[in-house]
Amino acid sequence: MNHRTALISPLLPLALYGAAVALIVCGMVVTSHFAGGRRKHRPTTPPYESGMTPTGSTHIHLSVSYYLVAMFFLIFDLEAAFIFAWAVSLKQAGWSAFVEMLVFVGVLMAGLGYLWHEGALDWGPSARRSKSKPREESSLQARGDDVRQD
Amino acid sequence: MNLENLMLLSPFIAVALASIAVMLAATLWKTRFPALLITVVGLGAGLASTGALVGRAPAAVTPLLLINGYSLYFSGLVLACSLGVALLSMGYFARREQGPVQFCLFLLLSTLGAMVIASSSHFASLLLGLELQGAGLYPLAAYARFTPASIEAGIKYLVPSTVASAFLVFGMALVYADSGVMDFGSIAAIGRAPAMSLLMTVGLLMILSGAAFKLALVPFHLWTPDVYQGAPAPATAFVATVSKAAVVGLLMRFFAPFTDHGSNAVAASLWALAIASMFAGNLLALRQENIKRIIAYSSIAHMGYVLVAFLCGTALGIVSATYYVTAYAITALCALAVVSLLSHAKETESLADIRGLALRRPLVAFLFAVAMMSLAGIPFTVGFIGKFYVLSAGVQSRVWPLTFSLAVSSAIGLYYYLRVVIVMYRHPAPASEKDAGPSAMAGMSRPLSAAGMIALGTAGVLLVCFGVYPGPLFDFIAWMVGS
Repeated sequence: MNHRTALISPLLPLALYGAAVALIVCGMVVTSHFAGGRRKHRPTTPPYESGMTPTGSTHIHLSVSYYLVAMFFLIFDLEAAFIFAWAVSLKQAGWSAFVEMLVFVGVLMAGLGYLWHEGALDWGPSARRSKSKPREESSLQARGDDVRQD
Repeated sequence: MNLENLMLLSPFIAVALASIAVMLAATLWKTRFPALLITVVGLGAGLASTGALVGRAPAAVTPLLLINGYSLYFSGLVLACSLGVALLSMGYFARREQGPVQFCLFLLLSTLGAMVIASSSHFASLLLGLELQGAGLYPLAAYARFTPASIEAGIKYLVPSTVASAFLVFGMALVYADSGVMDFGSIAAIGRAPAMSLLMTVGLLMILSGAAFKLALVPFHLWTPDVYQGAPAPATAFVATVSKAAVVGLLMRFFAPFTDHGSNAVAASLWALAIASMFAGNLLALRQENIKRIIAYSSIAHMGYVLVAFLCGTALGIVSATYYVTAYAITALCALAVVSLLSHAKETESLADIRGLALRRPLVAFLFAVAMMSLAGIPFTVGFIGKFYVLSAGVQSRVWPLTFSLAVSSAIGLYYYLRVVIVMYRHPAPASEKDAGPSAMAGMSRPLSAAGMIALGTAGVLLVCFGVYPGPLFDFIAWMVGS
């Protein structure tokens, strides 16, 4: 009995706290639903976009380079995570770890060079669409393009 | 990481360096030739260093990898098959707009994964190898990305493969939860013990189902025909040879301790998988009209035959299974090399396409006929010798249900293998000639790629040589696997 109360007692305040939070939140929503005034004017219905009136359609086609950016982020983020772990133990890990890190970064650099050559860094829709054009020209065009027009 | 370990890892390092060099070559030169050359040189260097390591085995490189005669043999087999696929891809992509550079890259990475699988001695390295192999294989299957069939093949391989990996990881977690070990040596000790806990059994069965998916054993075979059909022919050859050989190597390494006494659930499941695969594979192939689908279903049956030898639980059984995998890899490479060589803008894959092939291209038709006979197990081919060893191992161990299933199902298989041969040696139908038009006729008269012919010729010569004079190869396998 004694150890059971010892088990329950630290959880009891937490449960009470949780119940109180749920009660207050529900109370706020329900009270404002009944007590709050309701206005059905035009500006209250559209989605809130930082105070300005929304422009354009929501049905836009995002370019695939969004996923490319995500992939680049993953690559560099992971690289950074490994390098941090190595850097804090630089002295203890010694030269063999230094060489291993050089190999690791070297492989990633080779991959980056390949992606660069493949045009993965030329963000923007027109750069991807016209692959046969010279790369400098198409990347300049890309800056002028709006993503939503794609 | 001392010098000795680096020496032992040299086959892996050669293939890994080659894959990085292919990436850099793709950025430096516009032509496709350097990438192909680097791929062939890298795989050749890997093969040579695998051969050079035979004297140093067995040795453990970190707790993750174990380099012994067994892993070296399967690594060598994987590398040789991969080299054949690389040669095939040279000719295959010469006639297509899409370049072979990325194909080479995925080929090298996937081969590296297969080598890690064959050498793994720990769950971590096994999973790493399987994922690396898979990550290369999905884009290989979907490589012809402008044809819907290829995309379909990629997706159909990716989704079930991911589920199988999930099963595998869950099984590993259960084994670890029960026993607290993750290295194969400790798990083998558990396998030799008379009784196993329920948790351990469930974990091992989940690992088995993951491996059975990769081998396309019935009932985990549903992806096979569509992937074989949709993938470009060199990629199909890769799936049929490299990925099968690596996983068979793993299966025999990991599950061999569980087959010594056939009373546990793992051995019983392997029996059921073997019998179901032999019958279902051969029966489903009977009505197929597509050569790649026929080869897909026949691969299901052949993996069942391999299991028969493996389930004998004797040294002869292991050697026979290894011989059979080698025989199957040579034969499948030979058969799919023909499909790859004959394909032009569209893949040559239906039986109607190869009707009358013997009149137009007698040598290619002859090699394809020999490959079909080897798959069927007709004498003077390596497939016959392989089946002979499997049967003798089965008879020696008195596993009668498996042996009878093998005999009956391979008799069923004769029908569809010989059907392909008959179609090739018939006169071409006059109506189809007219329909095919000038483009098809131009495709018939064009010269075949030299690199592809080298791969096909080597496979064909080995197929007949080992079929007529199998002794040295058998002794070599017995020596490698036994050591």
